[in-house]
Amino acid sequence: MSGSVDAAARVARAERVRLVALGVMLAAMLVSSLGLQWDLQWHHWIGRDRFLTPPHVLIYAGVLISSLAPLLVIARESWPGRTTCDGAIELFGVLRAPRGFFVAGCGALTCALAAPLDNYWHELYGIDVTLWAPFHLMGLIGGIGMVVGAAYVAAGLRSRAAARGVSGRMLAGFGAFVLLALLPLSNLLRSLDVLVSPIWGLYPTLQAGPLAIAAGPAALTAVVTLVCAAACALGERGEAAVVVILFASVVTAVGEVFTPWAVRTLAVAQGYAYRLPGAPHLTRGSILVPLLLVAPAVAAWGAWRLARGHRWWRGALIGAAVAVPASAIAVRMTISGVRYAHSIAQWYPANFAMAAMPTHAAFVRGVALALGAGAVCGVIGEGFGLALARVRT
Amino acid sequence: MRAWLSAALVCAGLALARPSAAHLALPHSQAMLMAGWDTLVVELDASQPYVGRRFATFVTLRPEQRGAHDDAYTLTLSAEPGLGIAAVRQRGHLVRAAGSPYAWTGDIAIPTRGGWGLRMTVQRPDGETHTADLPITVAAPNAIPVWEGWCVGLSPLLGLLAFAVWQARELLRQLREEEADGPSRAAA
Repeated sequence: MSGSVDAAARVARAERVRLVALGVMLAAMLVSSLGLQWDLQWHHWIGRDRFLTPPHVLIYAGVLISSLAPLLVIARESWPGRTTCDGAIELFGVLRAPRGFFVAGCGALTCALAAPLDNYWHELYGIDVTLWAPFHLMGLIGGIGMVVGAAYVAAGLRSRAAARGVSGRMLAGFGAFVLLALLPLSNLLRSLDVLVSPIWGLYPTLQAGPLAIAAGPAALTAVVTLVCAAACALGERGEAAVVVILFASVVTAVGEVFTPWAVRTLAVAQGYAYRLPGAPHLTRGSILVPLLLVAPAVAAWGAWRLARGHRWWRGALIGAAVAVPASAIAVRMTISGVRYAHSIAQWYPANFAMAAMPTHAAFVRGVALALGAGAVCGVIGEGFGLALARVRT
Repeated sequence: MRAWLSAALVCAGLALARPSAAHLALPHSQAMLMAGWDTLVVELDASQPYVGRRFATFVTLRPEQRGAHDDAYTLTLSAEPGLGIAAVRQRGHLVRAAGSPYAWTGDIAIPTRGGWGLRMTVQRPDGETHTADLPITVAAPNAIPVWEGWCVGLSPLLGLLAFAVWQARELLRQLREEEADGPSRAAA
């Protein structure tokens, strides 16, 4: 009898430690996410003059803390003599922890490895390359691993709590953790639109064989659909709407309000000069863009309710529904981005070839591609959500 | 099967897609040399040649006097290793540019870093031969070539994909089990 009580207490203690570690990881990831937004603005207005810029410090501080939390949990649960706790998997016969901690740990390790390699890459090839660089993408993949791992940890805590008969309100709290884990994922994936931004990446048009395609619609649709569909597949109590509204408010508040202020303040404090005319400031458009993401979320939610009984094509329908508003927003973003890039063209070096405005036909093809990409990402996102809803370890 | 087909389509799309022509224009260097009484204008498409990387060369001849047999001018390109460079003479490739008897285009690759001389040998219509040398410094290859950087940078994607495949298989197994157990459990 006392043995089973001890075991229950040990499981409860392990779950508490996991929960605390998850909280630390999520907080650190949001800090990193904030650093990423700041860094994008920093590169745009000031450039990259050294490795340890203030935004980089914020990003890597978050990565460091995010990597320590899973490391400590894995070390604690794998300590020699400890018995395997409920919810843990065994790796290589010696390491034990919920799978999410392994994924998050590997993600953090990838991010940490990408940092010096990225610095080296800049030393070899120049300082002002875009996100479309190998070690930027390596860091991004690591970041995705971190947040996917955190989402798995949260989902595992939620399902094990449900199996223990924990009350509905507590379960909703665990669900909120899962959605919180999806927040940095959506924010991280959103940074992928930098790849197609005319200001940053200079690739607003993809050339697929003889066809020119505006890349923005498909890219943004894919990003939004993945997260919306995962959120939809997770819950039935309007959690998808909650996650997207949270996402929009966090992105708006953090990305668009804080970062211009932070760039201005640090630029003055450290004596930097802007390389472009004007100064970073909050614009009406920058507030509206994240809020406009609510439209795809509402479309996803409506499609999810409509197609609830049709498991096989539900994900594709959600994706296609999201593609319509998301691609409209992306077209608008691409047009205004190219116009802005052209308006500051004289500030770029003379040999810098500005991206041309995609043609109407390229936009039409881009939107058509967005429908397909949305459908595929809807299926992937739904699968991700269903897997999260069923994860036990 | 459907998943494999989707994956194949995505891979095909990625393979077909490439960034548009918007890119940084390559810097180039230009030099004017004398070959006998004739002037050569040499343009290189790289301000910094690298070992093993072909760099394009465009040569324009300004003869001392133009004549009826100017299309009989020949021009060859080679690279001579500088002092202390353990290498041998390299032959370049030059062809007459379309539409002009006075312009040649081609390229050359240098196998060893260090100081080299690009040697242009001009043979006039009367058979007289002159040479002109353009000193260049060839840099060592980059420690990480671009393709290798991409391979290393994208390698964690394999881990993420492996995890995704593992999870997808597990999900399919769970869904099959739920279906086998009946609709009541699936609804729960």
